[in-house]
Amino acid sequence: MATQTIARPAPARAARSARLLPVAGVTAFALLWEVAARTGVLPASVVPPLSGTAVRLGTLLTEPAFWAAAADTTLAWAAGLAASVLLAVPAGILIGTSERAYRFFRVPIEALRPVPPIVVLPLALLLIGGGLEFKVVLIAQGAAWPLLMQTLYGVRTTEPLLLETARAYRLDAPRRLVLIRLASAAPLVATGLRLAAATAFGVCLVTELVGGASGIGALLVLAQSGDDLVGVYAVTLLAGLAGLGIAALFGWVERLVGARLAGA
Amino acid sequence: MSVPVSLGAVPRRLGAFAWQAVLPVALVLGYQVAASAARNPFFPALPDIWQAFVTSWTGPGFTRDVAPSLIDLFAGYVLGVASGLAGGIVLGRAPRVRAALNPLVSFALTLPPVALLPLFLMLLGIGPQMQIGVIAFSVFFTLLINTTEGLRSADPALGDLSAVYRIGGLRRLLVVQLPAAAPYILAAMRTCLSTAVLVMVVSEMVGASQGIGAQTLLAQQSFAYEQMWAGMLLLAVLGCLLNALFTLAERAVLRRAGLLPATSTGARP
Repeated sequence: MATQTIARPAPARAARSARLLPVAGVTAFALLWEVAARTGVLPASVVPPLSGTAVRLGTLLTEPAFWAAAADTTLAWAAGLAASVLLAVPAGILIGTSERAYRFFRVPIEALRPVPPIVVLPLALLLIGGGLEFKVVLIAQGAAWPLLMQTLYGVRTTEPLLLETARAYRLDAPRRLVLIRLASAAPLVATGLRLAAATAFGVCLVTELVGGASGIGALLVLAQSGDDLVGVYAVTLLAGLAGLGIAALFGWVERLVGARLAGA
Repeated sequence: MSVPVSLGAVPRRLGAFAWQAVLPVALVLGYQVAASAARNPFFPALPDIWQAFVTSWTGPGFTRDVAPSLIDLFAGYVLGVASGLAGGIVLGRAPRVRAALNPLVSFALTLPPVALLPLFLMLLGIGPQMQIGVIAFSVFFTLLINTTEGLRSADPALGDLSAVYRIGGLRRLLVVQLPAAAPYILAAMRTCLSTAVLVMVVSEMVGASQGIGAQTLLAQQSFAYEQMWAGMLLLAVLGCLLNALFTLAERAVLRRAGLLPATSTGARP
């Protein structure tokens, strides 16, 4: 939701403090973590020192096993997300363009939308085992929902005046679909893509945690079952950083699409 | 809605209703026909699933599996909402603290909650406290950020108005600021409800021997496919039901506050 307050001309000092505050926050948190762990305020069995966790994180990055797991997770995430886009965006356009089609599909969509995406995990595990295919299927069906809903909403809320104008200029149906409906739905689809990318990452980790598929989630399970708390902290931190990276990337895409179409 | 209906509109409305009912009915019937024809053990017929549903989830099954799941879900959700709301109110009043904590909150917000399961499992052990902890964590940060954002984006005129009428302190928060932030808070609560259900199920699949998620996965591993389907059915129904209940409650709250419901896209800023 882009409810932004209008930026006021701020004095240079305020601007500098706005830049410094986040850095100060992270530094303070890191220091607090380190000191609390070192002095035993937080016992090592609960929170190991940050420095130790960082060192572990560093050694993790030199291990080929880690990179193999990261590659597995990335591949499944990307393939699942791509499949969900190929599935949900055309479906959303087809269903959303016709009021009749929308009503036909409305009840199952509304009924299935709030169903948690991992409900089908046991069935999928049964039918296709625990490999890459299983991960991709599960990710795609989970990530497809936000994309489908956003695409539907975007296509259905196209400004009717724009469509009328396009008709008056005798644009044919395919052009109207691409130039008018898709273009006006694009910002919402981009938001759907950001949500889908995050969902895909979450579902991917679930398939690895529960389904035993190889990847970052499997590394977490391995560290946990080996009673390796530092390892669990290190991999969890990495998963968070990956999530942050995904959010940043697709947030950027979202803003780019929004800016493009606002300017057009 | 009590719109006067002309007589000609009645068959049209019936037709519209029938049109919407075609696909759901076809899906259910189609499954039943295909399942009973194929006799594939992976896809049991609907009466068999229903029977497993009744034996698994009512009576002793309810007290052993369904009730603990629902209690954990409720406890974790309420804990996360309450603490997120409180934290959001604090951050909403302290812009500098908010700016300082922003990277950390963003990190926690984008970390998939399920990634925390191994950590919470090690710290809290197997048991309801682990499930409740992870659910509360998954809810907390979304509530925190949306409460802050809701308070921040409230119409500045409301603040001026409160000052003019000398509404201050707690009363201002409860009567002016929180109702103004309600659409943001409710949107977060809705998003978090489905996240909480998901986290509940996965946490039971990873680290519990009881609960709906644990039983469903166990049924799959022990080739009890009717029970597995009964579990999937219950989880699907649970997701729908909670979402529907939330919608009802949300409408009531927003109507009381004199606001329109927020759009579902406004969950996260």
